[in-house]
Amino acid sequence: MGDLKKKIEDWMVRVSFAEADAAKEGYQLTGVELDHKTSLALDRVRIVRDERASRAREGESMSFEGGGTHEHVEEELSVMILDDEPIVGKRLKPALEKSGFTVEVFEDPTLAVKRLGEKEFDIVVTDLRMEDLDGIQVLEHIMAHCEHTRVILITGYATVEVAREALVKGAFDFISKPFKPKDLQAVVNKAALSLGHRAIL
Amino acid sequence: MSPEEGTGTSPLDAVSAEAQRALLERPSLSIRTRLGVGLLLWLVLSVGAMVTSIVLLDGVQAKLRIVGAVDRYAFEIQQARRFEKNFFLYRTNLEDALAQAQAAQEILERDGSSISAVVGASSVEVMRARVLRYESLLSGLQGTQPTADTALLRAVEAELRVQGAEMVDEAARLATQERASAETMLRTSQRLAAGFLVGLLLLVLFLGVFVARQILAPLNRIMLATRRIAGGDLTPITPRRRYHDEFSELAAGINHMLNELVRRQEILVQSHKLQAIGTLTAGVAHELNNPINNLMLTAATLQDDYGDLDDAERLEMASDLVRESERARDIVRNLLDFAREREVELEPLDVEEIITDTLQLAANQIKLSKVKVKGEVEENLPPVHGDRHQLTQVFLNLVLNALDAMPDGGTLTISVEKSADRGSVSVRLTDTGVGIPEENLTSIFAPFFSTKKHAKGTGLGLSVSLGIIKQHGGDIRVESQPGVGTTFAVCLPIAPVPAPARMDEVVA
Ligand SMILES: Nc1ncnc2c1ncn2[C@@H]1O[C@H](COP(=O)(O)OP(=O)(O)OP(=O)(O)O)[C@@H](O)[C@H]1O
Ligand SMILES: [Mg+2]
Repeated sequence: MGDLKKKIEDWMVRVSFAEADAAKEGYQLTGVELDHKTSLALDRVRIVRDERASRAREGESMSFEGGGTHEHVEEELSVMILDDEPIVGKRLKPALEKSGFTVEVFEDPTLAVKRLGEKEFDIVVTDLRMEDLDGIQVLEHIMAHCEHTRVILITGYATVEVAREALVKGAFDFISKPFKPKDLQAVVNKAALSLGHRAIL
Repeated sequence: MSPEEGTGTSPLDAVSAEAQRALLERPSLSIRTRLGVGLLLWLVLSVGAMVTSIVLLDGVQAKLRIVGAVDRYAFEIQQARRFEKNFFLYRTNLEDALAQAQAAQEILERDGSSISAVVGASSVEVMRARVLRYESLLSGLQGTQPTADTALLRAVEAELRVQGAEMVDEAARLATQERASAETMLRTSQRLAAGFLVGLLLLVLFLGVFVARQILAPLNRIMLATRRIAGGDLTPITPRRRYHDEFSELAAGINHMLNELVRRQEILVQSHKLQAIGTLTAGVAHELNNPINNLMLTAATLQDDYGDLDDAERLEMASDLVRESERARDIVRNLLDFAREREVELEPLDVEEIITDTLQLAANQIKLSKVKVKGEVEENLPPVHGDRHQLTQVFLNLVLNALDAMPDGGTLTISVEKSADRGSVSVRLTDTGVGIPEENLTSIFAPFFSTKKHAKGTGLGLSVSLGIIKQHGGDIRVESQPGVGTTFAVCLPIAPVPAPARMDEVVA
């Protein structure tokens, strides 16, 4: 995890340098340029992550070659969905369950954080904007306490600042509202892959 | 601005057109005419007094001259009579008496015309006849011898005595009469002078009162009006006097200026409203994401899994679709409602309702900013009088300002209460934001004053808000402690303040 974080940070620092240069030369990066840089950063992050994930898979399969079985890897992954909009959980839960995940739905971030203390989820899908506790805080909590959990953020629209903050803090990926259940399934599958699971189609 | 707005038919416009018409349609009686009439009166009075006193003094002079002549005449006659008496007593010569009588006659000849002008020609004729007769009697005597017929002498003596006495009496009467008439004339001219003095005093008094009433009073009222206008009340000046004069022109000019001010104010209000709508739109876009996401998730689920779902599930999803569509509609509706152009319309309003409307409008911003809003509303609040949408705009600006002042969240407390004197309702918005440094406290109400970076603020908000509130007869006060928070207190009068009630205290 630390290794990945470092790489992302390096990349973001470079983006910052570009911005600083722009400021020095007296022009501002426009929204489009920044968005472009963000998406570049995101792409970069995804590549790094995929590399790491495949390495992890190789490592795992190597370590299990010694006689272990693959069974526990194929155990159902647990997913937490945290969004203060009840319909999000209501629609996503069956969709993800159909793909073979066990799903728990929360609307209240405080309750969700409490639950995170009791159980280690493999994947957490959380809304960014919530009252009391926002997605970034939940992400920070998870990064601090659950090393193996992949966090997928649901955003209204990814602003550069929020994207950067979330990436630096270790979010696995974003999904922007509005999205379809299938879109989320795809991202969750990717997260599952990175955890060494087969994609569930 | 919409075309309806362009034609300008707000109540204020109507009032100002009416005031303008009333100001200029009164019968015209200019101050210049009135002052001119006053001065002419003065002139006529003075010239009249002068002329009469000159005439009177002239008369007195003539009388005195007559009195002098008559006195001299009487003296000559008396001398003549003395010599005449001596003649009868001592038989002295009659020459002296005759000379004196001739002198008296000469006096009559010389001054006869002026005397006859005063006492009439007939009495002068009588006098002349008497003198002539006296003379002829004397000269008749001259020839006679002292020893002559004593009876005849006695008859002549008797007639001489009668004529002489008559002449002296007549002269004395004439002198007394003329003296008295001269005295009357003098007294009249004295009275005239006194009367003129009184008239002058009255005229001065009248002119003084006139200047005070006709010039200073309207000036004073115009001054009051300008003070009121400076205070933000832009209702036009309406007439109070029966005539139209230079001050009416001045008032009409001020009204014209007021009209321009109102129009400009409207433009400012409008442009700030657009700015507020811009801010709200960002929040609405954010907030719309949620129902749209719900719609998308639900519709996509229906589409993909239609066959796998049972009827109850499908029905639930369909009702979710309806509910979320309604939610999206509501989110947009408030904003659309606020954004619509409107005529200013004064009505009794529930302040609490306006605050609720405002909070609903700003709901998305409030959610985004993580600010908690608390409300404390007193029971049984009396309604205030005003325009719903303008007041909403004021409170919206204050709420948005408070949100901007708390970038990291905080609490916004809104309390509504009756003022101590029960004449107004005061709304206090207290935030726990950055506060306003002392040196900015006076400038925040100035147009285009903003501390917000990156063209986020136009700086019109508070200036427009204060303008609106002042037009409602209220006021906005601010207290702030940097680092602790800020309180804006909006005071709105309960009584139906605007135009009609205050119109009659107005000017010119
Ligand atoms: N509640 C508040 N706390 C701290 N400062 C405030 C508050 N309200 C207003 N101010 C200060 O007063 C200034 C003027 O406010 P005003 O509403 O007139 O303009 P603005 O908010 O900057 O621009 P706009 O209203 O067009 O967005 C603000 O820039 C801010 O510095
Ligand atoms: Mg403002």
